[in-house]
Amino acid sequence: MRKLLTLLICSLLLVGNTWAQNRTITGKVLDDKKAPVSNASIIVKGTTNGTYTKEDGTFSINIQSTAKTLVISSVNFESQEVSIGKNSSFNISLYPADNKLDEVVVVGYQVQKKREVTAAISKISGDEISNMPIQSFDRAMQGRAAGVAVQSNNGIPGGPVTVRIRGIGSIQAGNEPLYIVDGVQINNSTVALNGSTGTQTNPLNFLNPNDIESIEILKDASAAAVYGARAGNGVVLITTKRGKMGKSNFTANVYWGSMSTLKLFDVLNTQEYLTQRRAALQNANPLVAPATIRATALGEMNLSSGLTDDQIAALPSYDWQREAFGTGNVFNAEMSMSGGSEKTTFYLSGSYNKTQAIVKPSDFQRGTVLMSLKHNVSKKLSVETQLNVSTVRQEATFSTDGSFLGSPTFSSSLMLPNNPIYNTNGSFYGLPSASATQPFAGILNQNIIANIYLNSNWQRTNQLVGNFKINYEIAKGLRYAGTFGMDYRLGQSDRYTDPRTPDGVGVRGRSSVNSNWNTNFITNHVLNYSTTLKDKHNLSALAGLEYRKDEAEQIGLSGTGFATPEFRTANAAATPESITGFWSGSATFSTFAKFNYNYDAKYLFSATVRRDGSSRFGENNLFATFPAFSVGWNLSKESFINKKNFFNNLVLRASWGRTGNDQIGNFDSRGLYGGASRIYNNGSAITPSQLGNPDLRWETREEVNLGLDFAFFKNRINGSIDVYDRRNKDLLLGRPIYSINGFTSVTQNLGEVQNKGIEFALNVDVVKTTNFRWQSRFNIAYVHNELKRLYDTIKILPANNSLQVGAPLGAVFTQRYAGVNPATGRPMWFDINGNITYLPVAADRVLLNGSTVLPRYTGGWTNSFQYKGFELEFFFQYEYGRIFSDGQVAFLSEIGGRSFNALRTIVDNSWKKPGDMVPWARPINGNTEVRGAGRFGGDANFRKMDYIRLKQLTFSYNLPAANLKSFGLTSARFYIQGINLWTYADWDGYDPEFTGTATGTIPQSRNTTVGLQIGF
Amino acid sequence: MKKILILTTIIFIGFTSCKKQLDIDPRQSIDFNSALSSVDAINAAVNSVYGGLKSTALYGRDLLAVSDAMADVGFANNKSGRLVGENRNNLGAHLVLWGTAYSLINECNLILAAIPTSPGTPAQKSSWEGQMRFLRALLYFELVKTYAYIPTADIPAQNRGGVVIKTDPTNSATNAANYFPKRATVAECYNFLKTELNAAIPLLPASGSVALATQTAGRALLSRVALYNGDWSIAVTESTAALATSVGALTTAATYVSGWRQSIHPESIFEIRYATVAENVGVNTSLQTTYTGLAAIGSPTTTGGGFGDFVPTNTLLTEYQVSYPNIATFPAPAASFPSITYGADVRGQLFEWGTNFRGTRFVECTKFFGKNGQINLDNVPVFRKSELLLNRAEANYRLSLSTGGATAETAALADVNTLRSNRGLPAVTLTGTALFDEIIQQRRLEFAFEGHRFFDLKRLGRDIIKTPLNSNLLATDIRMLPAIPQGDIDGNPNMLQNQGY
Repeated sequence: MRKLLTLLICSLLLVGNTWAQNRTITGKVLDDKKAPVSNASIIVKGTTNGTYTKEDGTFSINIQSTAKTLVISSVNFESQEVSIGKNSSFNISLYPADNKLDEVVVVGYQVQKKREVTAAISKISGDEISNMPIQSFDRAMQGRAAGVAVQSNNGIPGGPVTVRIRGIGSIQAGNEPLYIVDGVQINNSTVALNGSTGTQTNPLNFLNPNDIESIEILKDASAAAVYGARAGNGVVLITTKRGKMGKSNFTANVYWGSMSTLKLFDVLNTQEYLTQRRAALQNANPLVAPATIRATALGEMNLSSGLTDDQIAALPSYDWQREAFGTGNVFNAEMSMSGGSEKTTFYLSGSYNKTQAIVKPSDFQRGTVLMSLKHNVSKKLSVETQLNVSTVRQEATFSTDGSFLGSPTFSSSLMLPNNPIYNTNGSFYGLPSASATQPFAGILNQNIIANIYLNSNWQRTNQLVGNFKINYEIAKGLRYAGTFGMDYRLGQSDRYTDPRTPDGVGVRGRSSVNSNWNTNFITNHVLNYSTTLKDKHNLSALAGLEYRKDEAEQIGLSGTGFATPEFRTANAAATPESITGFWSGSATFSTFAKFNYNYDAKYLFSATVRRDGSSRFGENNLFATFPAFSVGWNLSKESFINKKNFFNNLVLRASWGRTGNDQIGNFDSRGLYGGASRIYNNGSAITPSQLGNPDLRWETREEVNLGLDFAFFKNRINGSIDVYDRRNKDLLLGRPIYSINGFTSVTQNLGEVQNKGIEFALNVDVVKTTNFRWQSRFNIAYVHNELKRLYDTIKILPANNSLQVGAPLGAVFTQRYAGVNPATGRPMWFDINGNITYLPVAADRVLLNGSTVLPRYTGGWTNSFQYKGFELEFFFQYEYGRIFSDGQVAFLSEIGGRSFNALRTIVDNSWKKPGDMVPWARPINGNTEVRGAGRFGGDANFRKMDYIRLKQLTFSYNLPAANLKSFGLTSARFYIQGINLWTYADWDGYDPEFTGTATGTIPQSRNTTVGLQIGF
Repeated sequence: MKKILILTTIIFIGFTSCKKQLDIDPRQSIDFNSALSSVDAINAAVNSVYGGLKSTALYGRDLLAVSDAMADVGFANNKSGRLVGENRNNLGAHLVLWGTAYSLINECNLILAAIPTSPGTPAQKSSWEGQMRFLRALLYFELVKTYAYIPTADIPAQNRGGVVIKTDPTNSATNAANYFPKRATVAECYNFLKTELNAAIPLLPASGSVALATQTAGRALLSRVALYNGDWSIAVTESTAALATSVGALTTAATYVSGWRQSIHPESIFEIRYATVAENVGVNTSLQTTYTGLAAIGSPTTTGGGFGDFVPTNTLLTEYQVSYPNIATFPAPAASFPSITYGADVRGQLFEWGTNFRGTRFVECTKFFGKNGQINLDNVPVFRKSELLLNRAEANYRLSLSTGGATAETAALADVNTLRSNRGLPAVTLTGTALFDEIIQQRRLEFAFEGHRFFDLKRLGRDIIKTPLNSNLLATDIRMLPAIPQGDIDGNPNMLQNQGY
């Protein structure tokens, strides 16, 4: 109908002007992806002469000889002027409108125009993160939003990620932000059903990142306050893609890739290790004859003490690391369809992803189905649903982290190099069945490669996240929105320790299985009113209530004694070993209201209040109220500032708000006796587990934010600056009590942590011509974290001396390493007066500079270059200002102190003879000199963790639409992408990006993928 | 429109009962204040105290292995790196049982406070009270012998007192936060122990499972407390009374080795029971893995065993008459190994070649060897009948120096010879210090790897002579005592730290 009208109007225009024209020009309008743009209007500037493009983007128009310029415009595109000259044929590219000014953002129970938002909010569009070979979108947020620090815990595909918005404010309560997908609050607890011996799974794996339309991050308290007690760590709102009215569109997308290690450790060979171990034994036992030491060291390596030096020189070395760390691969295929009528719109998508990690058998397999449906029942009533069903299966290595002897990631670099991996016939060397003839040498005495192939250890997560929404317009401007949502999760794990492996042989195999149910039901009901009075006074208000209930339940069992390794299910176990069970739950009930007012989008004001009741809080403090206010002033609308319309936008913002952090244990306020593990004499037991605190409540966060949004040069330069001061008060903290009480702490609300910082984001359209475009996006955030107060007059927490008033959280309080005595090779430390000591004591501890949980500076820099259909994008991400120690390197730095392998750089830089001026002490069996401290006491193992990483490099080509048409396609994009291609870091370990200890973890990998995306 | 309004109204009304919606109780825990209000609950709470003794910090490992590592019986071979610091007597490497013990003591205090108003028959109540007083005394004894000097070998210049005696329960955060403990004197501690045990013994059953407290266990503890406190006649009386009961029986030379292979040691008066596979301490810190890497007795080529971190010194082996060629050479031979010759002392048969799967092969102790049907799953004897013989012998010898005279000395010699003959050794005829040395030597041989030696040396005021390779520890060295956890010192003007920390 509309098209008919358009045609009619066009015809009229054409007819009306026929007699005055003297030539015809034709052309084609394409978008930046080289897809045709239909219904774009073509008007001769300064006239009413115009036409519209057809479906294939072509147009034809008669113009007068006086016509100089064509104006081409279309919804969602920037209008463009083209000078006509003598050409009669035009190819015109339109760029998507930089409608930053009219862009809307989701702000919690409502959407607002971005320019009218007076709080600190970052937005990441789905396009920015599309097609990255990642399993959950939180990884993609890394470096893309100022003040959002994202750290991969490790390189497990589908593993958890640490996300910290504006620093870290809690000591014992959770620091994770609240994730809300299409209005459903996601239960963001990480389920690791088998602990550190199982895999780790990210609670956000359920969503295919390519189904995301946008991510909004509510950073300051005024933005987040509408989520009250859950919002203390910031809120991440995810909106999935929706259907659009019109022709049905299909897209198909597939990518393949491979992954490789970033680094392997350079460790010693058999001969070098023997030398090193002999030195360590000799240094520890100076009175023992060298020949005896030699025999002992050889004996430890299961070598005959009678070997001659020549025979030793001929011994082989085996590279266990290369065997354990290989290449991985990724395959992703997905298809989506969207479309709809005036009544009903839909978006459907399905995806499959399989990622094989660089360490076998760790992998990730996921299938997702997303259905989004909206139906307009009447003009006033609409219903809507988004339903995401997913299944994820992850296989794990022997353990995800920790110093397990059987773990390939831990043991491969430490294994004595003279241990063979395979027998000559290709079978595994040194399985328990052959132990008599094939003993392993050294502490690491398991064939970890055999463990990879013989054991199995998987976890499956089936998840459903869905909602049902009703929208009803009660009266003009007054709308009701009701949401019922659910996040249901079933996690299952099955770990089988094969009876052929060392850990299984003693018990003839062990099977442990666990099942975990998480149900999270949420409903909210919101009344929304908005109106404009006298064209200038824009008012909106909302009021709502919300109820959420979470339940988690788990059962597990393990059994031992399997007839043969082929029997792998728990029912085949001869001996039941243990049964576990678990239940926990919580509920919150909340009411909230919000009021926005602006005068002509020039003076802006917003107020929010939320009242939360939570079952987690103590009975004396069941309810909490969280208010927030913010104001804004759009300076670009003031003629005295913006005389020449230089600024496209200039908004000054200020806000104050209070939120809470309710991420405390579900029953932390109760005094409890647990029916726990203390069974005795075949009888059950109950054990006092915690003292009650009926006053226990949420942590409070108060935050002041000042911000400036700016845009000038026709929006080609835009960005924002935010400064904030955030105080987390009434921290949930185990207040130490004397352990003579029988308890070491009581949980109370104590102390205060400050995070203050500055965030800067800048987007620049550096070059923008018809054919070439260069866009650059940069962000940096600085955060200063400081513990401001503990309790009473305490400056240092007795039970944990790293918690000190004036120091950041995560500070390390230890002695300073002073290097090596060049005369003796003994390690030395500084005492509190700066003098050298061999035996540092507690009083010598100092706070280490740069020791903090989170890096002080984080950020990213993206550049994209478009030339015709080609596009090149590179994205750097960086962290700066933190020191830490790498657990794996610590083991490798013992250089012969125990019978496992060592890192060559440490050995090369260790003391060997009097006069050596080197950083590392001489090797000594047991790692501790007589009347000395352990060689790694104090800060000896701490290093700078700073890095800059070329996180992503993408080269893509959009095939010209003209060429596609014959294939029936509307678009086709081919791309090649690299992840973690280059890193600048001065770090000994596998990778500076990890959380935890890095002992035995799967490190990040370098990925290369190629992909093809087509639309039809 | 109307429907929506009705729906909305219903929803709003539905939420008005919200406070009730927030009432969610845990399902795997019960309320602290009302927990001990049934017979079943108190029985389970009593069980919890026993169960707590299984902790690695107590009888699970440390009270035996760490204690012996600090003494002169063995050598930490650095196979896993465990016990190396303790074996070298590094500053700070010591028993760490303070927090674990006090949390169990508080459990005892909570139960004792609940008994007067609790349900239960008088018999039940007195049994609970007897057990709680016994277990509390046992824990206080382990604390005071570890953290303070022992009265028979006090070093007054370094004596900072005994341990804190707390007998009232901690049941609220407020009273816990306002409590500033103070160390009692060593004498007060030992007097407390004697009073408590004298009160507990009549309440305990005369016989019953050795996994639970009996009168004999109470007397055995009192006998040891008396020995440490120099109350020689009490030690004799209590030892005699305990020896007379049928709870535990001395093994003979013929049954000694098999005794250590039985789930419940026949000599046990009180032992910590690890009944089910779920209670297994595991491959890293169980007593079996600490002492031996063997997976099967007599089979040093079978894999699947633990570490074997702590092995006997060659000196100790020689004292057991255990020998192999070149035993004096350190370290022991590795890839190939000679066969061992055993002497008359049957206790030597609990030592044999370990594996070379984690480094050098050593002769290892097999006292703990998965007796409960699974590797690393062993009951741990706390009091054995043989200890009472030696307690009585030592106390009688001491008495012979004062009031007891020759009769007491003869009795002492008789007890030593009873033990010797039951261990395959001929009787000896010794008097004076030679007799005393023999008593102490038999204690060393009888209880090696059971955690007695360090405290025997400590209470005798003897220096610890370390072989091989580690430097000796003088009796006056501050490293004889561990530090009291700093968290219990900070902010408390009443509390004294041990000398040197």
